[in-house]
Amino acid sequence: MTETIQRFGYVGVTLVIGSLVAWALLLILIPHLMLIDYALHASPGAISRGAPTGWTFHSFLPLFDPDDNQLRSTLARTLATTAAITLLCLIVCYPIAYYLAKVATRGWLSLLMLALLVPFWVNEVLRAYAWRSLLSRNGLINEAAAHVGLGPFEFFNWQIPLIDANIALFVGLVYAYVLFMVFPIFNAIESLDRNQIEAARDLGASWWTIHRRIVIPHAKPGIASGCIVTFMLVAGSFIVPVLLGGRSSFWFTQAIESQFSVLNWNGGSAYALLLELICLVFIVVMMRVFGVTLRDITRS
Amino acid sequence: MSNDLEFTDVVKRFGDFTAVRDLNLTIREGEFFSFLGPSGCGKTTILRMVSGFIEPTDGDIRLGGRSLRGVGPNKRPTALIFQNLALFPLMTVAENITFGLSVRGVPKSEQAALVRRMLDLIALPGLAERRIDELSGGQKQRIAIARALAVEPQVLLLDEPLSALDLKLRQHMRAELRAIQRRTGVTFIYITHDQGEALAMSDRVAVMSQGRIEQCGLSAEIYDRPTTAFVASFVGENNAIRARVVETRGGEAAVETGFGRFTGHNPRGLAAGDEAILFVRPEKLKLAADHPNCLTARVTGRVFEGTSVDLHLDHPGGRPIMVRLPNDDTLIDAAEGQALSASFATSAATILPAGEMARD
Repeated sequence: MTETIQRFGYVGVTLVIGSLVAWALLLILIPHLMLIDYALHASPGAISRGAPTGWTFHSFLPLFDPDDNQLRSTLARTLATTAAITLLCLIVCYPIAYYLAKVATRGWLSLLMLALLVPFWVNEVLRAYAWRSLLSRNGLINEAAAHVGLGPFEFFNWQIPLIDANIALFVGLVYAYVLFMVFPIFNAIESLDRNQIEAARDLGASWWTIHRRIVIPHAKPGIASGCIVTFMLVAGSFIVPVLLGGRSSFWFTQAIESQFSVLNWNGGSAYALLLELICLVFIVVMMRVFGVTLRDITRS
Repeated sequence: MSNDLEFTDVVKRFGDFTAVRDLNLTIREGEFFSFLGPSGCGKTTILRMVSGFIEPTDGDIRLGGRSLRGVGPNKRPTALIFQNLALFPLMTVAENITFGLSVRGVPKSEQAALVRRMLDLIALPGLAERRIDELSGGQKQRIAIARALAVEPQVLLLDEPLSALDLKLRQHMRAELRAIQRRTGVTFIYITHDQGEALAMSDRVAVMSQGRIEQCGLSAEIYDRPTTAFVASFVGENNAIRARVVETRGGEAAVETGFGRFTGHNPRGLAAGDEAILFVRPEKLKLAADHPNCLTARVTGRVFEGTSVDLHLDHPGGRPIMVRLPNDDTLIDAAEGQALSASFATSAATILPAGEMARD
């Protein structure tokens, strides 16, 4: 500490520590305390109809309404779809990350990295609209398909079995968050000594065995952190479900937004807090499943 | 049919660069064979061609008469020990050793027996459940050998695996490797740039330069009877004296040098008038004027090596002549500037064509 002060002076150190404290306080701690405070109070409308004025779980009650299943099923569908999208992202991104980290030559690598990044220079809303114009009933894909006598494909109405979400939403969300899956896994695999792969191959392992026993165990922290980040971003995404969700895929964030839009801040806060707690549980479960620590994850 | 490893006209090119050219060689089953050469001489390329990570551009490699072309590294009866060993850090010692068997679906009970047998072979019983990062350098070395031998390869390839060890351990591991090779009877192919390692362990050594084998033979042949100036100067310490052949007689030749007229053997059949280099080992020079091959020069330096003392003699236009004297009661005290005469037998000198020297 004294050494740091000697190097940067009191002003420098105060500036750095001050900005860290301000960041933690203003952007993380205070908003969260406010969120919790709102969530644990009834809305003014509810109070006027006789709800308690002090701290209460009243704002959470719609989630447990025995007569109205809609909110619960929205939450369940959102989580199931998010889990499926996270899994799909992992399946799509692992080969990409492996290719980038261990197969691609240097020049090829920077080109591919650029190709991965460039679409993300465009605003998320515009990207979602781009998918809309590609996938809609009169979109580019359907027009092209019509030329060869196929289609039309109902990307917005085709439901995926079990999770009740349409294909367009699936495609849009996987696309929106690939990078957050690719990079942690890429970093993890890149640190694997190539000789490990060759040694396994030399000892007779097939490619599948090499991945199962050498590459994936090594990349586990990266896979865990990619899954955690992707899960949280997908569960918390708003604009993509709004634009690509179609008629039946109502996202839980839309339920949160609908509370705020009718000025029920307490209800919106309660739902948001619930989603956040579920994501926290997901992180802990993922860390248990993958057997990784917080330190492993932050490293990759 | 024996499992000899045969190279027939093997060539490997990377773009415009030819890493290995016209390799023709047979490595016999059960032989300890070393490729010795400076970095970039093509020895690693040969190793990777045998293990299957790269294919020859031309020519063929056969093991026991069967071509290895198109056979992947995981299908070849060869095992490679990497320079950095490449042990699997997330697995225990036992899991490392059984990796090759478990990917082949060998039952667990057999694997356990193999771990015991391998740990006995490398004299490290009781380490089976250790983690790799708990092992010392020498232990890791042996585990790498055990892991490779566990798949019962016909050919074991070693890529300078001792280079990371300190001197004492390295010398110990040399003897250990040699003993393991004798016990198992597996063909060992060792690549190294350390000539001491190659000469001490190998049945035969191939000295390589620029993708070509310069000379292949027993350690003693390579050391005492080099056939090219590269081999003479790369393997061991050697004094090189610029010379011109003046007369040939049978297998010997007489040359004129800056130190006078010397005779030596003439393995390449140089003719009178040819530019040559006369090589004579430092330990073959005796401080006596009792032979016609006698040079006289001033002492320019003296280096104490422990078992020997090296005297450096002035050599105008070349590197100092080195005379290696045993550190015993015959050792004389030579002061700098003092003129000394050193002589050598005709059989100790080798006359080779100039222009094939090792660069260092």
